[in-house]
Amino acid sequence: METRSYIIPFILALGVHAGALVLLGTHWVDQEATPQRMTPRHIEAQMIDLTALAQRQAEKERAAREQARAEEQARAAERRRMQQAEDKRRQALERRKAKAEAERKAKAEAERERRQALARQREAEQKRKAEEAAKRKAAAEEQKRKAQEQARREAAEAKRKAEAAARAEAERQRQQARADAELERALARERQAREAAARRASESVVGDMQSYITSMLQDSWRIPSTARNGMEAVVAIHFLPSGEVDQAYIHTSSGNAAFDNSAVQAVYRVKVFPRFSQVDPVLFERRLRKLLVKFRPEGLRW
Amino acid sequence: MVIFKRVVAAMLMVLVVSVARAELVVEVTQGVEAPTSVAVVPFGNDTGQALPEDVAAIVQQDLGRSGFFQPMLRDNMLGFPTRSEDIFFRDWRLAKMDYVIIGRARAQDDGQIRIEFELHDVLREQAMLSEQVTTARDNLRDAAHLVADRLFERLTGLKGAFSTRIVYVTAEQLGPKRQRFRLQMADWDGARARTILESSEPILSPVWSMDGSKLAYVSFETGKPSIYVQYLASGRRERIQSFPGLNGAPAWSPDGNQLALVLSRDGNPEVYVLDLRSRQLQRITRHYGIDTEPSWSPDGRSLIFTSDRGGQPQIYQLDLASRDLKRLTFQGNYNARGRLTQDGRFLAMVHRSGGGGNGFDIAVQDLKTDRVDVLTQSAMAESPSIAPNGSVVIYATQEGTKGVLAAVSLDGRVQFRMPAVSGDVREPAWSPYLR
Repeated sequence: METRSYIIPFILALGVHAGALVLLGTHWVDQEATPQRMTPRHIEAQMIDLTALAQRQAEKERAAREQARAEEQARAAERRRMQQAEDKRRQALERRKAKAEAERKAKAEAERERRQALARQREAEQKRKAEEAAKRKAAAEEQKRKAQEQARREAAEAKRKAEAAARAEAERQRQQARADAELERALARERQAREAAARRASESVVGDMQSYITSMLQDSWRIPSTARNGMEAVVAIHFLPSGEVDQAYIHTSSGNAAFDNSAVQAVYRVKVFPRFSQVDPVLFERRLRKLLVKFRPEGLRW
Repeated sequence: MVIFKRVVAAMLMVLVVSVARAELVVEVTQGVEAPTSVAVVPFGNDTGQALPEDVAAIVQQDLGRSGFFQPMLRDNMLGFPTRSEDIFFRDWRLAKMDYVIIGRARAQDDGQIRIEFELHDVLREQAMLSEQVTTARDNLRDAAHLVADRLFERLTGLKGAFSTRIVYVTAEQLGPKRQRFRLQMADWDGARARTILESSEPILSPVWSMDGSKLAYVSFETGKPSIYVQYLASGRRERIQSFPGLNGAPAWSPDGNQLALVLSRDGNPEVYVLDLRSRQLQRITRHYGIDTEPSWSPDGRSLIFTSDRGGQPQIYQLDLASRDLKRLTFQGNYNARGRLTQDGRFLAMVHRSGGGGNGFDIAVQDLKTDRVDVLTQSAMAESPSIAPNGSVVIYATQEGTKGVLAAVSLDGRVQFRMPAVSGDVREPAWSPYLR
């Protein structure tokens, strides 16, 4: 009956913990993924290849121009050498050529300008993209912070809930402890009853052993002729747990040597009392290790 | 609070345990009433010569005849150890012996023989006594009895009476109207009898003085009964007193200064006490019935005697100071010749139970409980005399037509005949302790 109230809070606490874990976990994954995807795009945007291409093209054109000029000069020298007359035409041609050259030059210049502008434009584009990326990154960070904040809040909430659960648990435990104590007392009472029963049982075992020892000794006691009714000798016997007689000696003398001897001998004649080995060792230690046996003959002739 | 409870519980526990520590007492009130079993192993002989006596055999017989012991037959012994290290206690234990006695004889430089003897407790497997007795070669019997005395005392706590002597009277018919009476003295077992007095006239009622130095008896040697005292050491005799009529049944007082006796000088037998120093005679009993066979109580304060004043012979006790008379015996129609044990507790007597047809037997009465036990099945028992340690009663009886001596232990367990002697044997008297 007590276990039902214990399960519900436990399931609740488990749920809260699981929720918090799920929320935190997804954010964690997002945050990890975003920069990884951004980084390659950022590197592509650097594009040093474009500049190198423009330079190569310019170089090519320059080489071509160089060659064309050398050819022109050679042709001019030929023309000068061969035809002076043609100087005018040549000059006009030359002027035309120079004009064309200038026009071509201007065109190349313009082309270069255009390419540069394009490069700049691309650079700007690049920069804008970088900024955009930074902005996105900042946004992501903000989002992450917010997620963290949310997680913190949720954690705090979870903690609060956990604390509440803990308090409930503590209260439950207090009640449990009270119940336990009650149970303990009941058990103690039962134990005392059991011990009393055990004591009664050992008393009964001790009683049995008393009659056992008495009967063994009655069979082994050779009452000497000097014995008289009313004589009394007390023999102390030390037993081993096996029931073997460790030692026996006169504790209280009858005043008659033969009587005393016969009493001690009765014990040694038995030598081993096998039923001792069946007695509980604790009981043996407490009650039976050392015994006093009173030899007091009754019903003798004298 | 919990700690307090635990402390209280612990204290209670200690209390319970200490109560339980009181030693358990078991009580044994029944047992087997049997003589103590003892093995007297033949003694070793290191003298190099055969010995005239078997010392162990004498010891064994002494112990057996006391009634206190059941000696083991030699034929049943598994071995004859003469030294303690040779004793296999387990064997003796299996033979159900409680004690084993070993010994050996050794020659001494002065020609004497030393008897070394040991008493071992079979069940405890330990020596209880180890002593020696030195004796002349021709006196081994005394030595043997002495050994038996020492063993007996160690085993029973009672002084052994095996070195005591008995005296008794024999009568031989030598021819028509010719008789020979002898006062003889022997070991307690009847051995080594020797004659103290020989007469052609009857000798009656020999009795020992309490110090064992002299005897008193009645002799008819002058033709009429007279009481004599004879000193054993010197053989000197003196006639104490002679009065008209019956003079009989002398008894020494414990202090040896007085003699109780029976005189019929005033008509019928009465008990008197004679002071041996002043020679004064004091009449004790005064009755028309017969009062006879006086005997002193061990404390010397009273006399017991037989009287038929009640119509049949019974034993009475008279306190000498107060003159109070008390009848002691009530069972049977004849109780006579009472003798008390030295502890004053038991009365041995000649007894005939009622019902007719019964003979005379030796009985013993416990004066504490007045229980009477008949010890013999003899038809003609008479003259009981008790060993000084109260263990055995010797008496005279009839075997066929011949008077013989027999003995019975006070508990009736052991009965035996004394060795046969020539003639009728009568009136034994056991000596006091002689050492």
